[in-house]
Amino acid sequence: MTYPPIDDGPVAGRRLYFDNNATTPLLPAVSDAMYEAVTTFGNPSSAHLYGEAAAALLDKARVSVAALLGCRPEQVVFNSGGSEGASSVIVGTGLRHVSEAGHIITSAVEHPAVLRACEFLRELGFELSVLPVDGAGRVDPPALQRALRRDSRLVSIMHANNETGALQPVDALSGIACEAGVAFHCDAVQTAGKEHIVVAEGFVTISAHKFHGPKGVGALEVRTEAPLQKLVFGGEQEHDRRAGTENLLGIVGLGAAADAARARLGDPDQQSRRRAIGSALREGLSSITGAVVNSPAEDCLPETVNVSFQGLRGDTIVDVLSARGIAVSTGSACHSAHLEPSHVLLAMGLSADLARGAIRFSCSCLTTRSEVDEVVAVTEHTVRQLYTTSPGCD
Amino acid sequence: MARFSKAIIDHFTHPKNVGDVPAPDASAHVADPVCGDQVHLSVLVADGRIIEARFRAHGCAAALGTASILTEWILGMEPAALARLDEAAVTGKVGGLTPGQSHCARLAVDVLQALAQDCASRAQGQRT
Repeated sequence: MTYPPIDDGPVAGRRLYFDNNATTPLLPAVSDAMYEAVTTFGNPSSAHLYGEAAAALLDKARVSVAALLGCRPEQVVFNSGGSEGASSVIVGTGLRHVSEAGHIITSAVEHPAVLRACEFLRELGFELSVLPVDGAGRVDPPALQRALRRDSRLVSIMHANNETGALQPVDALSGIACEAGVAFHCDAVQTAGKEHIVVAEGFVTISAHKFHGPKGVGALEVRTEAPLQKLVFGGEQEHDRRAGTENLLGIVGLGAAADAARARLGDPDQQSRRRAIGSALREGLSSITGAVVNSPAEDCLPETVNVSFQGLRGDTIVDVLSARGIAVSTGSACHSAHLEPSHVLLAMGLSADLARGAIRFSCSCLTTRSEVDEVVAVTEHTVRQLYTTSPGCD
Repeated sequence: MARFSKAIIDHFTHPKNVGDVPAPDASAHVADPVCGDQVHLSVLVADGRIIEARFRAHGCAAALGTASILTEWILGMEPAALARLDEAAVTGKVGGLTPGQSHCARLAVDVLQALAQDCASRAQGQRT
């Protein structure tokens, strides 16, 4: 493959955003909907015309989100996003069973919002089983079957991994939990708007800003008879499942983002385009000297390519690319001089060195093929430069 | 402050004097045991002054930029003067370092001192 010639330094005006798993820009349709709603200041709970206007917007957004998730509007609970969704289910389950405790199951590759909430339950006296994953980052459904106990209270497993894009077989996993009569929570923050979320029964967490909606707003789908413990008390908003005056503007944005996402999901051209963009990115990055692609080749979000460059540090590549106008992220948290390799990549069996070298490139529906080509070319140049600089390199 | 000074960005995107000086008059290699950053410097000395310097480095972008800046900064200096450069001088020269990057100044001072020492040892060896 021939890449276009590049300037090897900071390029004036170059701004290529490949960190869409962190957050996405608002779509024009979303910001337009929010602008239109900005003067609707009534409280949706008020019994007058101002309140009715606000409640109408709330209802419209709820229908949009329900349509995206394939559930009934009353099964949608608006909240502040993914972390709240996970905590409300996990910590809520803990509070419901705090007197007798019990057993919680999750996986080794979950987002910290899930893992830390589960660890909190362990501090409360619950036993925690953390299921391992294979080299592709997936949980083996029979492993869940074996882990289930009579006192299991909840299984929480994500749909797609935020670092690698690996998709979990959540239909099978939720089915196993459901058959055992155990509540299931799916962190679908990375898949909402990209994949159909097929969960037999349970709770599903989504966050607006991951699919071109605003930050600070999300939803929890309650597709289960299992009770949801209220964590925020006060009024009876959200069918008495979450108190507090609703974040109306954010919810309007979430609804508009859900409408746009549903249209993309149902458009074969858009689906082919996302696969083609993802393949080009994966193919281009994998051809760079020293590259080891950590995202699985199959059953993976095409938008996400996690790649390590042997012998190089991910944080260095990220910083050099950023200086060249390209936004990507590491698969690990880097705190000054202390580098923590990604728990996800370590759980998949990568060495600490390879995990420290990981970088995540993530696209959105706005990413173009020419942007992919430019990112691959600049990354190739950057990696070559860093190898040349390394001690022991001739 | 910004995460990187303009000078550091310029040097880690356009590193200067990368490589090893053939038949150097002195060289030094240091590593930070905590973060793993490494810097290797080699120099040529003529008439008591450094006339060529090259580097190799592995580590964070600030460490790479700092090492590249060193190779330009020390040209024309007497080797013994390298040992007198401290972290404050390095930090000023590179246009500032954030608290999380302060190890780069320490690493630079360490490699400069080791280089000065190697120069002195080799000079001593030539005299005896």
